[in-house]
Amino acid sequence: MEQILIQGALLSGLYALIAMGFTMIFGVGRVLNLAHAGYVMVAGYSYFWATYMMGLPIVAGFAIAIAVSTGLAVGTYLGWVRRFLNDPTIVFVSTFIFALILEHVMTLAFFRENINVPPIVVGMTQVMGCPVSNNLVAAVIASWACIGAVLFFVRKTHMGRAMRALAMDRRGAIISGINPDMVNLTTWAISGALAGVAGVFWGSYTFLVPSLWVLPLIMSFAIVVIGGLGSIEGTLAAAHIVGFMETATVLAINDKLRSVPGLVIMIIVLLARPKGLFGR
Amino acid sequence: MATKLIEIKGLTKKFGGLVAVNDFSFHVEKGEALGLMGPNGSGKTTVFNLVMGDLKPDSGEIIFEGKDITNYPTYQRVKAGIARTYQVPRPFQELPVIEDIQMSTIPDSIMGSFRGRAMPLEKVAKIGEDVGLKEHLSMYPRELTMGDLRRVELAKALATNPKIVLLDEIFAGLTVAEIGELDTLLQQRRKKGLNFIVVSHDLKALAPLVDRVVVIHFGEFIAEGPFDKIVNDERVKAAYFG
Repeated sequence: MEQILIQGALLSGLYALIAMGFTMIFGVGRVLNLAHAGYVMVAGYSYFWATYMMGLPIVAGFAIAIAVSTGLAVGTYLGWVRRFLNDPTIVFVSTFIFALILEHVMTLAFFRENINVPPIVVGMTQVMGCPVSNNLVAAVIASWACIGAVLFFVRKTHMGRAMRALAMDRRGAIISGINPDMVNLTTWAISGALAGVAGVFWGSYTFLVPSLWVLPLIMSFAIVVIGGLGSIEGTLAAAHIVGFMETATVLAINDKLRSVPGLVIMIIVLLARPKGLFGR
Repeated sequence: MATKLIEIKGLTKKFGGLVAVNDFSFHVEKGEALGLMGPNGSGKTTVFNLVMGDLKPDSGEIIFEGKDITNYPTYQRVKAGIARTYQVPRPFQELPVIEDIQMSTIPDSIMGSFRGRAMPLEKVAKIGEDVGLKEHLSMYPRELTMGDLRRVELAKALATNPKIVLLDEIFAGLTVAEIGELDTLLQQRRKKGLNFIVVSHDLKALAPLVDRVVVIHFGEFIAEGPFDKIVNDERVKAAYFG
């Protein structure tokens, strides 16, 4: 039971980090960026490359991973998506292709074998009488620090308010003098940075493989649908529902069924409350 | 030339085969309030949409304070000093009135998120009170009447600190008393130097507010002049009464 709570908290935190970026982009720009989980995967590899192949310190590894994923997100927006904000289908399909391209590039660079990333923080701690790796504890703390920072940004800063305004009513926001392009760009950058943090911890939680983006993408998709597309609060709640259900399934039933509960809940939500739990 | 605040030159907009606005020109002098009149479907709102950048013209120019703003995106026109209200009010449904108005004062940069400041709530409240929303500042749009929603539209437009406001059917759906209050308020603002372009079916409310009227019919300019003269113009009568 303790194991489920602890592992569940970790997984939920990482899911929340990934899904938040995903949902913010949809909320502000009304497009789905399927390449998002690709940034997570590339960030994991960037961290591995920086710390274990280049021998750089952990902090530098983090900085590089976040810089790479943020750069990819900003690049995707400025170089491509910006032109197609009025056509969500083009963005949906093309960002899926971007994710595949990222997978192929990582396969070329690192081959298709699994890479075990050594823990970022070593050692064990007792939590509720249960031994937990410090790496897990660090991941949970980092996730929540990032989530807290994003919530603060969205609620308390002008740019955050502008994001909410665009999410509520695009024309209304523009007529209030808000620059939609700047707000979108900021949202993509934040979302990319979140993917970077998530990627480092995800890689050290599981292992690195170029197809690493598929499961996080499916799960964040389920999470944002359950939570209500575009709703940050909904995403947080849904990430925890899905994260804990998944951990319980893995520990109590079978590892192979890990993504089933989240997808079943998604279908139930789609049928019973298509707007999602917190949807507008 | 220097006295022109905004000048619209040869504006044309087609929707498929329909010419909504055809080679339409007019200007507003500094300190002037202009009425834009025309029967239903004559192209008034399209003109507003073109001036605001909601629509791109097929040809023509929009000059504001001597600058060609024809290719400016909407938010830059707002920052330059043009504001508008919509015929159908569109408040942010999830914000109380005061925060909705404050949204119009957000600084325009990422760094502004932290350093720049939006207008403090006390000053925002003052704008709200000026348009008669004192009792409604903490209320949500769903709790407001049409008259109050139009006031919110006006307050949001004023909060962008505009030089000119485009008022689209601001009197529609209001009671006579409300129209009177709004008229008084707009006239006060005029005295303080704010310019308006007013579109209204309510000619009685329009009359005391505007210095000059431009009449549009089937997207084309048909007349301009002082209100009293224009309402007796044969071409205008023909446009309105067929």
